[in-house]
Amino acid sequence: MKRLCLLPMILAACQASEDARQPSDAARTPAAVAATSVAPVAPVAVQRAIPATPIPATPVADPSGEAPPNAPPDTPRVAEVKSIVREQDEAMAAWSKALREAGTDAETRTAWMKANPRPSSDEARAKLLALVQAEPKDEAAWQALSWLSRQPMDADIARDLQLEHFAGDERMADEIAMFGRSGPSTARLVATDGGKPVGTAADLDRGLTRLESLLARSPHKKVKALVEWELAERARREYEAGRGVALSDVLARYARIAADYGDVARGRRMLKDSSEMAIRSLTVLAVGQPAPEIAGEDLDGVAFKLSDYRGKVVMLDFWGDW
Amino acid sequence: MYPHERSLVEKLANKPFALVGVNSDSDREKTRQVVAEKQLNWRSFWNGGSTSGPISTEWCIGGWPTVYLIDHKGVIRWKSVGVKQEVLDAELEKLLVEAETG
Repeated sequence: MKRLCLLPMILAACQASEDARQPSDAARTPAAVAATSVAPVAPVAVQRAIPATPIPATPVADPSGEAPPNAPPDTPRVAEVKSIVREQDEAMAAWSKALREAGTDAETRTAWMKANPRPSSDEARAKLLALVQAEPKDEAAWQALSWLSRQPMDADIARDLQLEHFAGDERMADEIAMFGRSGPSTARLVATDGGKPVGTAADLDRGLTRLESLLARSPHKKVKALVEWELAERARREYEAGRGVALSDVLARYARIAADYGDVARGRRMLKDSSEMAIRSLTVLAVGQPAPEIAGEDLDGVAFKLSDYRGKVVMLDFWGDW
Repeated sequence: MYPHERSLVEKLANKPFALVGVNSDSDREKTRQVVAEKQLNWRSFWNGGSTSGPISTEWCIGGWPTVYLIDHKGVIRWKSVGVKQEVLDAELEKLLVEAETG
């Protein structure tokens, strides 16, 4: 157990409140939401402080993705966006690699970063936003927004524009996790302070408002399903943090997802399985419940049971040497 | 985390305490070597060589490391995905007092 290794594709459902995620204001009723409409805002070049630790280039869902064999060739606009994105991602990857190679101790890294500032993305971001504003419903705008929504500086603008122009696009299903986040504060949300996410209630609320608006506007089952999942997760975190959401509400959300969207895949699991596991985690495996028996064998093949330790306080430690 | 786990086992050797692992690595022999090399002083269940093995599935584990604290009566009292040592130590201390006094 060398480091924290959250594997979101395995099962987000069972993570406890200490999990490094953003809290939310899920107590609000989803109905009370109108579509957010935000006027495009010109990008502002902001000089950022050099971060203490490198932020690796954010992966993009399909940055310069290989087109399927029969797909039409990229329009010049799309090609331009892809080329800008590729150049940025490559520059960032090269910078991160060089930083890693510079050394691991803090002093060396700080000195290195002083001599080699992070490559600026200001110009690229401005170009991409201009492309979006010129033709906001074009495929090039989709590609540009998909990348911009993962850049802390423009994330909020990009997500509002995605909602405004692409709420009906089925590919929004791939954007949900980012989409629900918020703000100029995205960088702070991703960052955590000793495991606790950092961000204000108002920032989070904006992400929630977007999610609810998308739920109301998308015609696609998969998009709706994944938004409902995100909303259920938020409600669970509110419940676990003691912020006024009732357990019965959280369980009802997961039960509804299992019933209505059980056949939709999220990561490697069907939502039916994920929802049922979430419900189990909140009931059978809740604090105050008797620990389920484990009967298995140790690394040497010798059989033993969890109940062998009755009478002792047991720290049950799920670990791996990875 | 290894140093903290090792020191807990040593420090609490005379207390009603047990660290029980559930290991989800894929190669059992390699894991046995890690245990020997790094002097990991606790016993672990083998999760079948996968993070989606039977025990972690039964226990709804979605992130590693996850720690459950179970009191001397066998009741789940605390759980956390990712572990803050100070918080874990404080929770453990409370449960140990309970186990010793009650």
